[in-house]
Amino acid sequence: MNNCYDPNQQWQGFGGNGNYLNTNTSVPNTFRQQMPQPQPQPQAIRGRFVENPQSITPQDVPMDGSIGVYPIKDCSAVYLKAWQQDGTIKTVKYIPEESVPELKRKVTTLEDLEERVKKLETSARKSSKKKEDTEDES
Amino acid sequence: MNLEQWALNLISQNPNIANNPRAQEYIKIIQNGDSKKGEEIANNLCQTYGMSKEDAIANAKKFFGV
Repeated sequence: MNNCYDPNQQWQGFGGNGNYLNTNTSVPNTFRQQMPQPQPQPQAIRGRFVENPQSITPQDVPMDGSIGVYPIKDCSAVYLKAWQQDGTIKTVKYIPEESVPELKRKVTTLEDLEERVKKLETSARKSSKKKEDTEDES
Repeated sequence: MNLEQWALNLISQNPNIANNPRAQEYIKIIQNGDSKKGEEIANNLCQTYGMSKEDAIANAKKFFGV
């Protein structure tokens, strides 16, 4: 028995492609078939700001295998803590390193020195020539 | 199935335990019956939490209602 109505079937009448009314309203099949992909959730950092490292208790350290991050309030250091397989807590301390701007030091090359010597020589020659000229005049 | 296996199954099926790699490692040690390793970990845990072995046992008994 033929099924007269199929809601999924596009109308193919008038020799067209089924989009005869307005081609702009057609939705590409590829778009229709796309399923919403689950977006990976950004992993949150576990931890909190602390006054001092002594105030970090074992209860603060996550037991799920992740690392707890504990910056000191004055930003003098950051402690990373994680439970180990043997029931101990491993602690790593990070101390911030302040960035110092690089000094703009000019490196003196051999060519620079040669140029300087040449300049000195020419100026010495000029001065000696001037001296000779003044002596001749007198 | 004895009580020990039942308890282990119950713990293993807990999503908090099932998704916890550390807990999984501890369960494996219990399942393997490595009592020496288990005692070592228990002692380390007591030391990390800053409590004595006796206090830990008392707390565990209280928790399980023994």
